[in-house]
Amino acid sequence: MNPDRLIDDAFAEHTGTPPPALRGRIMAGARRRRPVAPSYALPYAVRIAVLDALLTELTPGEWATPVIYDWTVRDLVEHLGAVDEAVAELLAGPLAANGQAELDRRTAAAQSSTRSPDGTHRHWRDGAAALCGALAGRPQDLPTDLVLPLPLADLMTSRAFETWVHTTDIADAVGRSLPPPLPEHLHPLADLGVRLLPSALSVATGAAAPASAMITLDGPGGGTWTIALAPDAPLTPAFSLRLDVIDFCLLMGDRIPPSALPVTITGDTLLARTLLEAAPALSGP
Amino acid sequence: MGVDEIPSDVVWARRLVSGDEAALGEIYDAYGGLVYGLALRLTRSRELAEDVVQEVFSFLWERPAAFDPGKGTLRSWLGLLAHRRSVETVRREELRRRPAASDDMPLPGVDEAVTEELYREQIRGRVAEAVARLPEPLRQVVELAYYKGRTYRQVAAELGSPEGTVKSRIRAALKQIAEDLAEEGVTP
Repeated sequence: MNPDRLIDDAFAEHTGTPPPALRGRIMAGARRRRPVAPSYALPYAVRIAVLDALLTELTPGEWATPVIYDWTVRDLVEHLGAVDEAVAELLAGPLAANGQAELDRRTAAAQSSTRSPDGTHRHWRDGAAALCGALAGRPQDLPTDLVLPLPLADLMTSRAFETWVHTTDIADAVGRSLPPPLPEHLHPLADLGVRLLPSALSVATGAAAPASAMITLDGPGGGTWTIALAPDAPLTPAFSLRLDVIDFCLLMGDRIPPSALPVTITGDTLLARTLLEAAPALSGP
Repeated sequence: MGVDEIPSDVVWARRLVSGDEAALGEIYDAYGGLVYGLALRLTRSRELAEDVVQEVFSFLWERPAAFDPGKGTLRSWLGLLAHRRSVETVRREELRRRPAASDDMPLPGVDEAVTEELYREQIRGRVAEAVARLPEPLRQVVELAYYKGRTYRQVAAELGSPEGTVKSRIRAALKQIAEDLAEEGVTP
């Protein structure tokens, strides 16, 4: 034991029994402070909570830390807010313009705002909570086309993915340690990543590969998938890839180069390598 | 308790940061009694103690990243926070009751300049003073067990006393230190 344990043990001497009703009051208070999202948007709501927790601990000076693409923490949070806002507008009706160029324009406009770090934090968090609220009653298979044609549930998972990647960017830049996602929160991100591999391949190479692949992602939250890289591909996998689930997500998010990735390949090595090289093709800012 | 506290603290921290409400409930079930009991002893009021418990658990929920499992246990973090908020509550109440205090006089809030580490350092000092005030037989066992990291068995062997005697002296010492820490003016 150590002197700090002595503090704990002395405090524990006073342990008592709180009135039973207190627990309910505390839980109700906690519930009021978090956005409510439909189950398909839970991965997104969780990422919002995590980034919110990280941002709450930052000093005003840390908001000016450079993170990525010449953006500071503040710029990055404004970017997330701008894209979330576009998604919220999309739910209300078609956007005047969509695609990456439109998101870039909205990002630049948000970043040139005069909001203080606190203001940026609040603006982003309120926008995210409003987006969660706006999802109520929307079918999860509602077709959307912000940058890619995706059903609403996948669009929200892609927002969770981007929020997660940028949260790790910010934590790294300010030197804070963040716990890794819980397996049940990581799995939907990995699942979307695997399902987007065919699109990434065709964006990167301009062609679809008439083959299937078996992807095994190791670690809590991982799993095994067999995916067709083109609609008419034979079902028997031409190759299999095996790698860590977090590594895979960071590859999709263009945070680890394919060459630096510990991966086991069996079968058609050339096609497997092409797929790994193509994997980050869909990641934007 | 002991080493098995560590992994569950890490998992609790992950779940709290992820906004997992059930984790807050589990932590309340584990440490609500510690926080409430400490607050009740310091504030001597059920109503104020309940306010402190709400404050402590709201803080944990709203600022989950403020708890870093790499720096200490959740039990310790909550105990320290409960102590600090209780002392602040007592001071606020004293000022409120003072006839000279008018409504527009600002009440003292959380002194943000005192970091968590600094507060822990202050309490360490108070505990060391409380240990120094213990009667010799109690002080001896506490110093060996808590400051020199000996097991109860080693303490018993070193002092040539039965292990049961060592345990009962530790218990008596903890009670006395606890009372010292609960006295007003525990922080400068």
